[in-house]
Amino acid sequence: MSELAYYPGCLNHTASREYDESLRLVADKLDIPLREVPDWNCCGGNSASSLDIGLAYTLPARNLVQAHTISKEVVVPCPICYENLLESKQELAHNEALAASLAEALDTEVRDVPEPLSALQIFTAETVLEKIRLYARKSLSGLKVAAYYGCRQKTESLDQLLLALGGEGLNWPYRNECCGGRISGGNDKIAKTMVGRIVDMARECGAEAIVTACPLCHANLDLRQFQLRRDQNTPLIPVFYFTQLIGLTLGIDPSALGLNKHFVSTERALTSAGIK
Amino acid sequence: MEVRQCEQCAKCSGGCPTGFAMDYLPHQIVRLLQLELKETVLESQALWLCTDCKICLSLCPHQINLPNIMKELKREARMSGAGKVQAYHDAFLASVERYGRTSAALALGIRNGSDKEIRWPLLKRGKIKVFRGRVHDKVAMKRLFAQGKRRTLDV
Ligand code: SF4
Ligand code: SF4
Repeated sequence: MSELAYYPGCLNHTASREYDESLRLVADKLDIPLREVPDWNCCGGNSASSLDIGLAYTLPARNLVQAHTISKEVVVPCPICYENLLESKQELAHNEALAASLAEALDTEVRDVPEPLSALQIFTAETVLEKIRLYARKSLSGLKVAAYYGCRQKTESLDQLLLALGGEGLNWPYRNECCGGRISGGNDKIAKTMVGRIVDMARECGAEAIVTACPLCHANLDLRQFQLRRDQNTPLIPVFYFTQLIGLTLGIDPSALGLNKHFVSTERALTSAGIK
Repeated sequence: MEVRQCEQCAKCSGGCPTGFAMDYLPHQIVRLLQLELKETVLESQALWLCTDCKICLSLCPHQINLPNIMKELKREARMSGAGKVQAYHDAFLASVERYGRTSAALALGIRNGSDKEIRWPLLKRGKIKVFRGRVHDKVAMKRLFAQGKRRTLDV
């Protein structure tokens, strides 16, 4: 496979570093060579669109321009970054004034910018799933996992992945419920209420773990659940990145996958499922 | 404007995940817009609680694009200075303008008074970095922000 540009995004260098770390390790094992977009910048998150719609397009666009020497596609782990990059590419395709002002600011030509691909899409392509089945050393069969997609990912691919990992996604109603991650900054109380509802539902449906592909969902579910513990006596449910679950079944060391960086401990779930 | 088509069925509000915390529910925001009570809308906390989850849009019988309306209103509130503009977005953008990237503390809103209790647990796990990564091409970032400000003033 030829090299693919990889845009980590701000959270993957900080609060969701275990997503970045596990993704790189797993990509390596599965022969998906990634190269970090040189000198990448923040995509504008949820805030650029509240200042100026142009900036909401040009901030992500600079990353597309930076990535274009590496490959025709750019892998994006965070669904919010992904959406920002995608909308930016779509806007650039027909908004000539925007493309011109971007070219002026960056002092370069803006042409044929790469296509953003979500990391989940890459790792759940049928050929990659086949490889995972082939390389697997452990199975998720002993762990009841609830696939949590959040508000952005309207797919079934986490459930398909769980099947490939030897497990099966739980049937539960809140797979697309919004976790409040996008407003949790400055509104932590509201976010805690939203997280509480989601985790309670997962528990009621018998989940022993939750899997996600979004760093905001993860930071929110893992961290806020940990904060909520003060007020409740119920057992906590560990939240995994899908890349960590792939890594575990491939036999990669749990701490290399960043499991020790979580707030809610993953120990008990993994031990009882015989994965650790 | 598309809000005229709204029949006030309130399906949007029924599905809205943050409705429980809003001062005006999404269908009430639309009603206020129909009545041209823009100022009340711009001062509403509801704008800043919209997560852009698009559930309302999927439920609306007239495909009224509330998520986009909410975003437009946020920009308007910010420009007019009328609204309860969240300091969070200003701090976030200031950081991107200065460093090209944002920190986890900012992304999670820790600097704005809330969430102080999680600062240490985050630091311990190496999730807040003392030295954050920066963009080297500062000139490009400056120009992008300057263009943004010019556009905002032009409107
Ligand atoms: S997009 Fe905003 S207004 Fe619509 S349902 Fe989601 S949070 Fe509510
Ligand atoms: S769902 Fe659509 S028509 Fe019904 S109240 Fe909301 S905006 Fe109006």
